Amino acid sequence: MNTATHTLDHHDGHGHHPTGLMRWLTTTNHKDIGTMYLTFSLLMFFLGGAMILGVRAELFQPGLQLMKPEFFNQLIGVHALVMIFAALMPAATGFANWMIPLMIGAPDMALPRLNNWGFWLLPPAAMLLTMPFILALFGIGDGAVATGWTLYAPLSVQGGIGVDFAIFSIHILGISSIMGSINIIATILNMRAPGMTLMKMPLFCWGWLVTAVLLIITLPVLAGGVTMLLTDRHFGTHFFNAAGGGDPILFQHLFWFFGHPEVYILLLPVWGLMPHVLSTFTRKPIYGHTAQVWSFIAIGVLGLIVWAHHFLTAGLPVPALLYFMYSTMSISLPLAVLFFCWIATMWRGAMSFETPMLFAVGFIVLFGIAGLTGLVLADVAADAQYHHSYFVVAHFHYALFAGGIMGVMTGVYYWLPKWTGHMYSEKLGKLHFWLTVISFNFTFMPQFFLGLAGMPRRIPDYALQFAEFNAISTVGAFVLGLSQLIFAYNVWRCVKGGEKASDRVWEGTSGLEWELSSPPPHHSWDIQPVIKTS
Amino acid sequence: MAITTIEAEGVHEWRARPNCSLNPFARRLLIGGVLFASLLVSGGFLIAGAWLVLPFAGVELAVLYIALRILDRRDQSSETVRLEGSRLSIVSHLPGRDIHHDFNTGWARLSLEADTATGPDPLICIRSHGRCCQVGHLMTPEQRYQFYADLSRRLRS
Amino acid sequence: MTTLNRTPAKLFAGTGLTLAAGSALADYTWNFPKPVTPIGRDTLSMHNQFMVIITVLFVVVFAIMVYSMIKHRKSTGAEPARFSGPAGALQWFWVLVPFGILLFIDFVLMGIPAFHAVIEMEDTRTKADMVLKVTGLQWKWKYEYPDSGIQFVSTLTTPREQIEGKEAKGEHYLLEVDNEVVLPVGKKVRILLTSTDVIHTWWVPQFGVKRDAIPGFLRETWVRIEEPGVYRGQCAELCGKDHGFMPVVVRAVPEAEYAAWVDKKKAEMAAAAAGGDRTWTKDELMAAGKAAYEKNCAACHQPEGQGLPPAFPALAGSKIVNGPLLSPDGKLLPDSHVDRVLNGKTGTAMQAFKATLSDADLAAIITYERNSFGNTKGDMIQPAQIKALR
Repeated sequence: MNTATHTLDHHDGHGHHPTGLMRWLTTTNHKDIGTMYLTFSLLMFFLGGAMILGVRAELFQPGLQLMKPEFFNQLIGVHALVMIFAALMPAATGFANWMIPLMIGAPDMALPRLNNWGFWLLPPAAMLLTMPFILALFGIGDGAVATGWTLYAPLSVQGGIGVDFAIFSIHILGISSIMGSINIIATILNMRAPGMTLMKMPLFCWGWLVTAVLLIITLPVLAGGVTMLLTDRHFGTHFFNAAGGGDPILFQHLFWFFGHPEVYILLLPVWGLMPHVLSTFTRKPIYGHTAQVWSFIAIGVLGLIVWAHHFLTAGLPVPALLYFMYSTMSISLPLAVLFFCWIATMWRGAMSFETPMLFAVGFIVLFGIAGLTGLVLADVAADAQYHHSYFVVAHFHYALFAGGIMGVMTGVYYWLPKWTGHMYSEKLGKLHFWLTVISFNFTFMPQFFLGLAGMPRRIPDYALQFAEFNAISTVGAFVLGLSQLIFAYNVWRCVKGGEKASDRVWEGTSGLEWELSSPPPHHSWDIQPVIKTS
Repeated sequence: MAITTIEAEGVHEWRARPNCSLNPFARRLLIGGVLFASLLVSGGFLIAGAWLVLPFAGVELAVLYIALRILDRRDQSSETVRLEGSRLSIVSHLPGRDIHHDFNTGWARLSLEADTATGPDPLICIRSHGRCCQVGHLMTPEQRYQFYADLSRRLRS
Repeated sequence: MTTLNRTPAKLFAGTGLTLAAGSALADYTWNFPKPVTPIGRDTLSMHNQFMVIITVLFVVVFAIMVYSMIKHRKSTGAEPARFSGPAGALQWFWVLVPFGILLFIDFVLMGIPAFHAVIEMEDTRTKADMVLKVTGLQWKWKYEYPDSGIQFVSTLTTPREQIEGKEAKGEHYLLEVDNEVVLPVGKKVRILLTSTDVIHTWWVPQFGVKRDAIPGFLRETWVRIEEPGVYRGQCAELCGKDHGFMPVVVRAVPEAEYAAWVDKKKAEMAAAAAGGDRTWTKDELMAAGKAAYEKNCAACHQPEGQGLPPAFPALAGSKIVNGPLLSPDGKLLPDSHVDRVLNGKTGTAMQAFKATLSDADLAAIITYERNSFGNTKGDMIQPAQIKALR
């Protein structure tokens, strides 16, 4: 559909680019910044993973073997914050930086300097988040935030310096996300090549556009919420203190008004990427492009009005319970459109199963489990039983690991040859896929049953009837964690060298990004392509 | 970054304009939509007692507005180089400055000079009698080389 | 899902995975534990029905996908089609049918039973036979029976040695308490919940109810237990350090037995109140103090009083503990040892223990702390003095 009328012969190497560290500190090139985002994300993925392996090791058997409950609580909360804000979101932003300009035929992001600042805010934020662990070793403070990532007041009002560090870290991460979002909105809307109308724009860009708008609408709510927490802690306000006329549930409204859209913020870029991968490996056009665009928008809008289903046990009035139940159920409709389109894209194609396609199929099936259990969780009465239990833990890991992380891995395998100019090892990729899928299910499927049997989440020790499933889950988690080293090795190998990738890389690709060389020149689309109207 | 070239009898004109796919109406729609949604949300929370959401939303909308404003001003920019007989005139409308220079083709000297303020890639400098005028802000590095080659060839001939 | 037997679990467990050594493995379950209230039964049958629905959806949708993956492969010489959307009325019809089905599932098949279940669950007041007030505290539950004036605190009794692996774990490891809540079978009990510090969640899986206890607010739910028995649950909302160690244990008994329990409990409370009026010897206070300290204080301040600084300060050598007891005229000194124990410290996990402990316990704990862990104040305080300070 989209065809560039001409491509340029690129000659690189003019100009005086700084080298070494300065290159990375000062770069405004979208490809460099994308690479930095992705590298940072990979590092944080392993950091967050190491934390949760500590947790799983403690939960291997009943009893406290490795750590005190205080430290356990710190690990679970920081694991979540690191994975969400420092691993998944930067990965998606890295994709956006690399791919959006290539896909829409723009020479760079609209606001390159803002882009650089956006990235360089991340490392200090991650340091703030994890620093209390280190400070505690020197006897300063009592460790990192121990309230879970939800920071519910009044527990967080009572907490130690870890909470303050987390609040500042969240502020900085928020500023970084806002900068990224504004930049992406500006780029997508203003820098499209002539002829690329919004409805012709690739779905990945659409997914990100909705994500960016969601971030802009919801982040001030989180920023306001955590700031109110800070003033409650140190400046004597009583936003969340009933004794002073406040309400602890107000914090939950603030948090989840951001927190629920956040789930879609993490997933929309992945949903945007999936159709491209499916279309490539089925050698067939994307099914229902327009329908998927409208689904993204519908999910974005619905995502903003269902937040209270995260605290249905907090004692909301009956009309509110019914409203949040039915509105949550209705999210299944636009999501079903996406599933329908994904499967219809595969239907009567000519499929081959290279690693990205394997991950895409794995994503669809496992994310399907997340979606279906989500539908059940919406039911208020049954939710009373699932809520705060391991059932929920399993559900959102199907959404955010199988949906988020495996989606990101799909993208990495799909685009890595384009970025590096080399093919990764298909053998290692397939090994990584099968190990990941099998160990993922070994880790999280038992957690569904643990939840049904009545095991609450966030407990460092448990009653004996939960022992078997926890042992299975822990073994699964360690295999899952270790198999990710294959991924890191495969990526590293591919960056260093390997079989040359062609410009189109895969047989069935379509889109502007595949018309550039692999790897693309440092400055690409210096002269914008023109999209033919067909 | 589109360059249009007009060629008439004895006149050659290059006009560089940034490419912008966002028209002013869509820009207003975007700002209006986000403003409406943000005010609805922060207004709701204001009523619920969480007034601190509003200032954050305000700051953020201001940043979004400024970002789009920068784009807007960038989009209004143009650089026109007109070669008519022995007169070389340069009219550039750039954010924050409007420049109009006339040179005599016989005296004008062309060079490529890097300016740290505009990035690592060089701009085209036109000098004559101690005056200097830079062109190429709205061109990509590739286009600058092409334009430089093109203009030098025409000035020599 | 419900009828699956336990063999797969044993199989998994058998594949070299270590079992909790020698522990008495309770019944393994693939589903909710057996419900004993109307809501619990409703929830289970609804859950079973929903699980069937989503399993069918899952199988049908992915059977189509798997069929396509087998049939439409490049390696089998499949030629890719070119369509990118529905064309013609017939195709549109087949595209819209799944969404019709989904709408029906969402808002009829699941929506209607869910609606009735919500209404039933939230109907706490109609024909309630009695009220139980539950207060969450870090990290124990306080229960009050407004009808009979009974109140007590329920704390975990699993010994530290079992948790730390120095002793074999008991049958009800982590799910056992000193004072069980006793409720009559067959009565509708309206449960009011609140908290004194952070948010807790009261949950007994077999009752099918779970509700947050929120400081400063009252929340409610209800149960009608249909079978006598002991039902165990846990706090379900992260509430700090010992969140995993504040179980809920409810003993449901026939009505006559319940009435007898009420009488017995009332007599016990009267005896305890009497204990607050007489004068105690120091040895008595120290002995009672040690027991009460280990139950109420040791989780944070540690059995040897060394605390877990900085969150939980040490009592050994503490300035506050070793400060003056009362002012010369017998009044409470602000920020003194007695003030801390009685009124707590706002913004920290140190709660106002005068709300939960008897005069005798408070006097005993204060006396014990002042004369243990190397603290040698030598003084003591009488329950009667505490009563006067309340």
